[in-house]
Amino acid sequence: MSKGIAYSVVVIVALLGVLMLSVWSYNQLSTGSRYAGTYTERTDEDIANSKLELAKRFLSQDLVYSSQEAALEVASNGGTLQSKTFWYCQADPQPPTKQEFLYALSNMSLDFLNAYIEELKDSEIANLGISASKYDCAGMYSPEGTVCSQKDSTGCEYFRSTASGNGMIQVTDPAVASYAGDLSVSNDNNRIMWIYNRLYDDTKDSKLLRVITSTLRDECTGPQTMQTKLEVAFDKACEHLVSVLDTDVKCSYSVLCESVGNPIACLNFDCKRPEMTQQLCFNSDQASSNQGLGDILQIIGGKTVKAQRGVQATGVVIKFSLTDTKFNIATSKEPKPLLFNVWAAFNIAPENCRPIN
Amino acid sequence: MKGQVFEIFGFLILAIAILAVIVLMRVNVAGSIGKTFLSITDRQYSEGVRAGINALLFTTEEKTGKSLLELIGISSYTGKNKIDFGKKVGEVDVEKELEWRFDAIYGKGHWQINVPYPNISKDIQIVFVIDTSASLCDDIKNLANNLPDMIEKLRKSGRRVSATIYLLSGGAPCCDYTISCDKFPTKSYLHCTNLARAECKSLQTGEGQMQTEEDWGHGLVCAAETGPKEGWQKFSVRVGIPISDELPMGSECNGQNYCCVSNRGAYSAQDDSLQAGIKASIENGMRVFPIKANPCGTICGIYQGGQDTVFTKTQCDCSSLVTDFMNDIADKTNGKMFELSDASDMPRALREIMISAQETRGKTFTLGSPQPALKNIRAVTFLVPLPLPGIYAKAYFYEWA
Repeated sequence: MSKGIAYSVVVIVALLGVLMLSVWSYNQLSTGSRYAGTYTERTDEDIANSKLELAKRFLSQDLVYSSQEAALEVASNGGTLQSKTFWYCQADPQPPTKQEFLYALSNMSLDFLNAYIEELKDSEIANLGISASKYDCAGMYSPEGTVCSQKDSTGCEYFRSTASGNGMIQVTDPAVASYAGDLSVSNDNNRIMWIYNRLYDDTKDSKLLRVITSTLRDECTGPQTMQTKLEVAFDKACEHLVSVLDTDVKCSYSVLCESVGNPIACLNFDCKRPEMTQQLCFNSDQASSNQGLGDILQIIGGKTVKAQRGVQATGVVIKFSLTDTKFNIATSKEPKPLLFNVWAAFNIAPENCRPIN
Repeated sequence: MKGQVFEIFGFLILAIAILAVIVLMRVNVAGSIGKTFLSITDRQYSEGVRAGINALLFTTEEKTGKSLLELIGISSYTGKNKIDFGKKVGEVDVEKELEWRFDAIYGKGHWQINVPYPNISKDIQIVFVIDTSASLCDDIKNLANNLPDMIEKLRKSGRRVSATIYLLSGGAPCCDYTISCDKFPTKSYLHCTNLARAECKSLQTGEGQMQTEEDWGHGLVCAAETGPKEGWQKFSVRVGIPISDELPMGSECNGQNYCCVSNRGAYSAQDDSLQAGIKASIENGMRVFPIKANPCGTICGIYQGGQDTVFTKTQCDCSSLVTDFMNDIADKTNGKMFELSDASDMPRALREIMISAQETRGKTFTLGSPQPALKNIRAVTFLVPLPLPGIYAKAYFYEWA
C-alpha cells in the first residue's frame, strides 16, 4: 500500500513537474512570439521608411529631368524666360545677367518639378500611401570658383539644383513617415553654365560685334555685294563664337532681317530688356550686372574714314545657334544636344571702312 | 494490487498529460511560431526583392553618371535600347546595362521587367492657314459648318483640343457669302483672325513676305511663329493645316494665267514660300497636315459686281504640282496630306487629321525571361519618371526562384 502510494506520489510529482514545465515552456515560447510580433511591427516602419527613401529618390529624379528640361528651354531662349533674348540690342551688348539667367532656370525648373508632383496625386504611387506636396523654390548652382569662365570646360560640365520650401513627402501606409527637407541633385553632362559664362564674358566686351565690324572693314573695298560681305562677317562671327567655346560646339546663324540702305526697317522694334526686378528664391552671390557700351563706333575705336565704296548702312537682326555636341540631354522627345541661341540686333554704319593707305 | 493499479493509473495520467501538452504546444504554440516564421521569411523575401530593385534602380551607370531608373525612363519613352548621349559619353546600351546587373542579383532567367508605354494625353493645338480666294468658297463653308462641332465633341470626350484659324489676306466674295472670320463662332477654344502683317512677328522682322491670298507657305511661317491665339503650350501636339487648291502664292506661271507644271523653275517664288513654311514648322515643332481642295471644275463668285461661274483651268492643270508641294511639307514635318474629292469631303479629312495628330503609343519596354508557369512569382510595381514633365510610366518587375 505504502509502496503504491509512494509510486502515485512520484507520478503526481512528475505530473506536476510536466505541468510546470509546460507552463514555463509556453511562457517562454509566448515571449518569443511577442518578440517576433514586435519584430514584425518594426518591419512596417522599415517599409514606410523604405517607401520614403524611394519617394525621395523619385522626386530627385524628377528634379534632374526638370532641371535638364529647363536648361534646354532657357538655352534655346538665349538665357532668359523670353522666347528671344537679344544679347546685342542696337549695338549695345546686353547679355542676360547671371541673376536673370539663374532666375529663368529656377523658375522653369520649379514649374516642371511641380508638374511631376501634381501628377503623383493621380498615380499608382498615391495608392502605395505616398504623397508629396509642391516645392516653393528651385535653386540653381554652377560649380564654385572660376571654373565656368575657363576656356577648358572640364570642371564645369554639370550644375547642381535643389528643391526647397514647403515640399513634403509623406508615407501613410503601412506606417507613417515623412520628410520635409530639401532635395539636391547634380545635373551631369550639361554645359549650360559654362556656355553662358563664356558668352557673357565675351559679350561684355562686345567681341562678337567687333569681329563683325572688323571683318566688314577688311571687306570694305571689295567688289562683293553688301549681302556677301555680311555673310563673310557672320561666318567669321560664328568662328569667333566657336573659339570662345570649343570645337564640340557647332555654330550656325540665320539672318532674321537684313535691310541694306534702310537700317530702320529692321530695327524699328524694342529689343531692350527691362531691368529684372524679381528676386532669386535661393542664395546666389553670382549675380552681376552688365553695362551698355554705347555706339558700335565707340566699341571699335580708332579712326574711321568715309567709305570708299561698298559698305552701306544696314540693319541686321540675326540669331546665332550654338549646338553643344559634346553631350546629348534627355528631352521630351529624344536625347539631343543643348542648343544655345543668341539674338543680336544692330546697325552697320557706312563709316566703318578702313582707311586705304 | 491496489498499489499496481495506482501505479498504472498514475503513469496513464502522466502519459495523457504529456500527450496533451505536446498536442497543445503543437497546435497553439508551434503553429503560431511556424506561421510567424513563415510570415517573416515571406516578408523578408519580398522586401529583399523590393530592396534589390530599389538598389538597382538607383545604381549609377558609369559612362553617363545616370541612374538606371533614368535610363529605363528614357529608353521606354523613346522606344530605343541604345541611347546616344553625345560625343563625349557615346552610346549606351540600356538593355545590356540592365541585364548584367539584374542577372547578378536575381540570376539569369529568374526575372522580367515590363514598362508599358504610358497613357499620355497631350493638348492638341491646331492652326489653320486658309487660302481665301474664291475657289475655296465651298470648302471654307464646309469647314465652318463642321469644325466647331467636331472640336466640341472631342473636348467632351476629354481631349483638350483648340483651334485658331488664320485667314490669308483677301476674303473673296462668294455667291452666297464673303469669306471672313464671321463664318466661325468664337469660343474659348476656337478663334479666327485675319493673318495681317500686324499679327505676324516674322513679317515684322522681315522673315517671309506674304504676297497673296494663296500664300500659305509664308502664312504657315507666321502661324508657326505666332502660334494659336493662346500661344503654343509646352509639350502640346502642334498641328498646322494649310487649306488651298493652289501653290503658295498662286499657280500662275511667272504671273501669267496658265500653269507651266513642267517648268518648275518658273515657280521659284512659290518654292521659297514652301521652304520657309517647312523651316518654320520644323523649328516650332509643328506637324503640317495640308488639305488640298479640289482645284478642278467651276467656282461661283462675285466678279465685277455680278455673280459668275468661272472655270479653274490654271489651278486644275497645276493640281499635281500642288500635291507635290503639299506632300513635301507633310513628309518633312511628320504630317500627312489630305486631298478632298469635293467640299463635302472636309469632315472626313478633319476627322482623320485629329486621329493622326494624336500621340502615338510607343511599344512596351520588356527585358528578361518570360515568366514560367507553376512558379511562385513575386511582383514589384514601381513608377518610372519620364523626361516629359509630369509624366510617369508604370514598371512591373517579376522575380521567381
